[in-house]
Amino acid sequence: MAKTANRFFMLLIGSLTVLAILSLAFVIWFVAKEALPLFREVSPAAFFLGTRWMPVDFGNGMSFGIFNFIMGTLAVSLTGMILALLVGLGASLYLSCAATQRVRTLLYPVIDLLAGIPSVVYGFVGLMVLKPVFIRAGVKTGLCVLAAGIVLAVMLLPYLISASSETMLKARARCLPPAMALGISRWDAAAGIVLPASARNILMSAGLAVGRAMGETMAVMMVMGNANLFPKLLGKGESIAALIALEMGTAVADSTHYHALYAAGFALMILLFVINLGISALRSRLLRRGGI
Amino acid sequence: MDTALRIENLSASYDGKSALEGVSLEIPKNRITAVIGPSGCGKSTFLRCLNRFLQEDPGAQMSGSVELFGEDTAKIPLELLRRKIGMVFQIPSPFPFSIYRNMTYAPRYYGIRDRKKLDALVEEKLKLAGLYDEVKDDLNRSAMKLSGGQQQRLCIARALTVDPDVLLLDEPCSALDVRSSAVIEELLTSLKQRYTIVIVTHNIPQARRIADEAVFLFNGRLTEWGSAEQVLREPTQTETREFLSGVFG
Ligand SMILES: Nc1ncnc2c1ncn2[C@@H]1O[C@H](COP(=O)(O)OP(=O)(O)OP(=O)(O)O)[C@@H](O)[C@H]1O
Ligand SMILES: [Mg+2]
Repeated sequence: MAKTANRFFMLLIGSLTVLAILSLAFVIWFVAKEALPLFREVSPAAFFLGTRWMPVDFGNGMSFGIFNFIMGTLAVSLTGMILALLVGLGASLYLSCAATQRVRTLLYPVIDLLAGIPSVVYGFVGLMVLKPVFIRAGVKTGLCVLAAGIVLAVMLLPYLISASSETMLKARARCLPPAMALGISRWDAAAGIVLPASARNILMSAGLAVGRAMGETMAVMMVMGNANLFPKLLGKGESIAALIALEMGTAVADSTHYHALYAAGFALMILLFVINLGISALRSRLLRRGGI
Repeated sequence: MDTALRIENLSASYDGKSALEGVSLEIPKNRITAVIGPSGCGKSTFLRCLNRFLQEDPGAQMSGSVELFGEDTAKIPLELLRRKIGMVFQIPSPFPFSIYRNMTYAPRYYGIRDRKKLDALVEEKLKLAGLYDEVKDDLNRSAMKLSGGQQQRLCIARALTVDPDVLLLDEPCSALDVRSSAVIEELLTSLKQRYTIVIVTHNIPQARRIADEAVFLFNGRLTEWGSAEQVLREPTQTETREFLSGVFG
């Protein structure tokens, strides 16, 4: 009886797993299928390395170069991740190694609440708060990569803090007492032992956060300026996600423009894949050096 | 016989709730002193008072005095006190780094950078802890890959890296199997030539095997202390007798 139930359960789990993999495969296949026709008209080199994006012919011909959008995506994600990691790791260290249990029970629900706010709201607040600041700082429209990076960082923070303070709390419970029993100061132990001891798990959450950063559309689109320019911190830029969101509605089905947008989406997937590959390589190196 | 620790009227409480009351006793140098008593009687609290670890707990208070070789521990800078009185915890808790880095973290923190000195120190202390032969081939291996007993010996070796005078151990064998416990008992017996050892244990046979002195705590009070022979085999107090015959946990 128990055996049958067990087998049924295994079968259920197995088929759900297969289903999940199949649907993922279907999405990839679908995007690839819609993307491929583009390369009959545009060479991969011109697509990935070209900087002119002119999906409709206004007399000078069409061109489909997404180099600036790739760079824009990377620039805003990188800025956002760096800012989020700096602030997030500091906050997690504080929460796990210095804050009392009372402070923790007070702050965690707030952090979780922040994670649930829709991205439009973040974009809107970014627009209201950051735009005037950047205009005063001399950025013409107030919209720029740095502003988008900041908004993105604020969005990533709750997730990063709750994920990394959780691992740090475990590392702290284990490592802080013996360290302090050796006379090592709390802060040295936090930075020198708890932080590196959690590095592997922090990298994993960072990997997931990168995915979110690179795919984040709304908030980034609202404050980055959306111009086909090579991204500079205080200049406008456009991310691939924004490009697709802005143009997919107007692209004629089966046109080159339409296929080019799919190809851009495919490029985004590849980019993510490569970055996550790099992160897991880093993690396994850390593992060999001995992590939790 | 020299006294390592002289404890005078020591009391401790958590959030106003008393856990230890008026404990006065002496812990002799180069001896193993076993602290025994039923669960919750204040053994861990007593140990944590000795290296002032109690003060890391925001709700905890301690009063009374502890002298280390005649010097009031309240007047010794905390960092120095912790170096002089090492502590090993119940659950083996190596840092999740390599064996080598576990052994060199504290010495480096205290300013030893010279690689040769560090290597020599690692070897010496690992040998003292009887772990060297088992790990010498790969000191860069993660400490987390050692067995529980090996991890606990590494923690003892790590505590020795800052050259303490006293070693406090809080039920160091309770997470280990009989064989690993036996290895640690043997190790502690060999370490007492160089160090003063205070061990909390629930294991009465273990206390009988290794202890020279014994302290029996009951409900936060000191009931009886003296030579292990006397306390563990011919106790004078009823509570001790009942505890030893297994009346309470
Ligand atoms: N961190 C703490 N906060 C509040 N109360 C505590 C704390 N630690 C211990 N106590 C209380 O102090 C008393 C003594 O605890 P202690 O841990 O010293 O006992 P113990 O003899 O080590 O027990 P065990 O044999 O179970 O380890 C107990 O009543 C316990 O509930
Ligand atoms: Mg205890």
